[in-house]
Amino acid sequence: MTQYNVSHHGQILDINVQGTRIKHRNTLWTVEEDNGKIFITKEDGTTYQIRDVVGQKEGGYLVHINGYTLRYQVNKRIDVAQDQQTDADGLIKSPIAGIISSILVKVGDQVIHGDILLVISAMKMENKIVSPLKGRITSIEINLNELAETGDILIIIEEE
Amino acid sequence: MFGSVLVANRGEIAYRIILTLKERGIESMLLVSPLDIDQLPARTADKVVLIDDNPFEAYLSIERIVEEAKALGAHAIHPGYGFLSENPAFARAVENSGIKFIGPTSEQMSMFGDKLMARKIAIDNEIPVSVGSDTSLSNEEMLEIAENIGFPLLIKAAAGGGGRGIRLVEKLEELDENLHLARNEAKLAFKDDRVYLEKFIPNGRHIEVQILGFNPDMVLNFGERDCSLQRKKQKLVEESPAPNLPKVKRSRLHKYALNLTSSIGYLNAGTVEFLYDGKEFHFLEVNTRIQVEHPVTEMVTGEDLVWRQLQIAAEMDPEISQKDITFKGHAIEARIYAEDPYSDFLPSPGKINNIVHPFGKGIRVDSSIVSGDEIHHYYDPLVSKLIAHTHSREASIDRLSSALDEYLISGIQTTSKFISDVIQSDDFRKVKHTTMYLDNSEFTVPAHIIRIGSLVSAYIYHKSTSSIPANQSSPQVSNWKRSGWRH
Repeated sequence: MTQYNVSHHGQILDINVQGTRIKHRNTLWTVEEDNGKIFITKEDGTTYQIRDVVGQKEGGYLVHINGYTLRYQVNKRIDVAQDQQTDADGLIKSPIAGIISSILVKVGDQVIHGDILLVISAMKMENKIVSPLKGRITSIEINLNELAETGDILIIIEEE
Repeated sequence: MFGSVLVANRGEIAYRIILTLKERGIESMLLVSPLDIDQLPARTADKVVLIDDNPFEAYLSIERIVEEAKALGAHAIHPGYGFLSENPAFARAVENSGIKFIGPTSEQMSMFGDKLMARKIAIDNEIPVSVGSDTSLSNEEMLEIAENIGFPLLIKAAAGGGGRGIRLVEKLEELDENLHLARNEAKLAFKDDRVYLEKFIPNGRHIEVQILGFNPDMVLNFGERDCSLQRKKQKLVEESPAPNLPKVKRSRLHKYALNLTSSIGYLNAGTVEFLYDGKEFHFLEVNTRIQVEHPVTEMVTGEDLVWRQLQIAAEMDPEISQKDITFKGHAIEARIYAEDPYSDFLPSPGKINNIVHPFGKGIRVDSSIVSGDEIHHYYDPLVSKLIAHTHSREASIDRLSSALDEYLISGIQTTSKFISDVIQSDDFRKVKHTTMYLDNSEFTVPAHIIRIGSLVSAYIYHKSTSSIPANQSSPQVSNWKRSGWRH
């Protein structure tokens, strides 16, 4: 069996797969595909139909199940602790694509957890980007009214 | 009646207007951006002009739209909602070009578009409004008035509306910064930085009245809609009639709406919005256009509001009076947005791999989206509106919920299943919800659904990265392509 970790909104599950057999903790599931439709069945016979799976970027999936559309990221098992460390630095990245409609800080400003740094306007909504940590603004990487893409670095904060 | 009408809009509302034009034998004309050229409205309209400068020129350039309408020989322009629909400069430019604008006069639009002036007209007509500031003031003067109003309060942009340009301020210390932000936002969004204060009514329901002015002496009432289920001040679910509203209050509400609009001889479709605190109504604003949620009114009245708008603009005898407008059953609309309801409604633009709209008894779908279409982050994220109309509120909740559960939209995340869960809640069924309800309640995805999604993702990833046995490979690969699997 090959082991994967699958994350959804920060929840991580360890899952083993071999052929059409899937194991999570001590439960076994089997997958059946029929003319483009996917069915997944638990040991006790309970079956769910997956209406559609759409691949995104490497290992990213949108799964449509029972009316819900959920986003997943699959990795071959890696060291989770190491992954979290790189997330804890002061790089503030854009969670969405949109126009920078306000910048409320400048280089040198002291900020604390929860301070509003800037506002991104996307699809009619104003999205506030707040500081995740206490520190000092060392760089602002984007200009007012500029378009930010998802994942673009917006602001760099030096943790204090 | 007009021989031809240009629709200055896109998406579901453009398609919905085109359908009425088709039904009435009127030539439909449409300007489209390059992003919309292959979509349903462009395929359906009789004449289509591609405006390929940028994604917005076709829908936002006043000069260009009027110029193209003239060149096409359009008799009238329907602005839909959003974009230029409530822009008096656009209405004026259309009026001056000799083409009929399907809406109120530009002057009426300016009066109600200025939220401070609308407030004044309401006060003059003895329509209740919340305590607030009535003119644009300096920050110092605002601070003084704010202390009298009390906190929390709202800062509203005079040129805002439709939930835009509103800020909630919790305490006095935050007022100054928020005034600054509100003015900046207003200036950026509306090129008008005037703002005013209004008392915040926390446990209110949003109830609005649909009116149509047929001539300056005849404004008719098409009943009310309850749009209390909102998130971030944007409506998510609307229904008609408003539930649990005593008869006496309902007639008073209708009278307020008629008095306000009659006082300026209002023409064409308009919506008078109120906040209802359980005892009294508080005037919010007038929207001078057809609304997103107009289908619920159409379902309960059996009227085609777009056709009525055309009749009014063409000065045709509508052959209607107030007694002809009757209400039947209960209609509820769900707005399906390309947003992730489980991540603070973050936009979820992208290509729709597969969409299967619900159908059957009691269901209406207003959408222009089919499989393969893309929801662009440039535009409003509305994918579709799903409307259930049955004999009762309870039955409409159940009908809408089952249609939402069955709604297949893949490739993007939407509000579909979220709304189904919300309307099934006791709070919604018993009408305990207010405009703040979604901000203070949590709806989550069941744990077993999340787990099954994880299992399937791991399986698909495994399959895509492992070698496939030769005897199975060809059917499986083609099946995956059909179900949209790609990498």
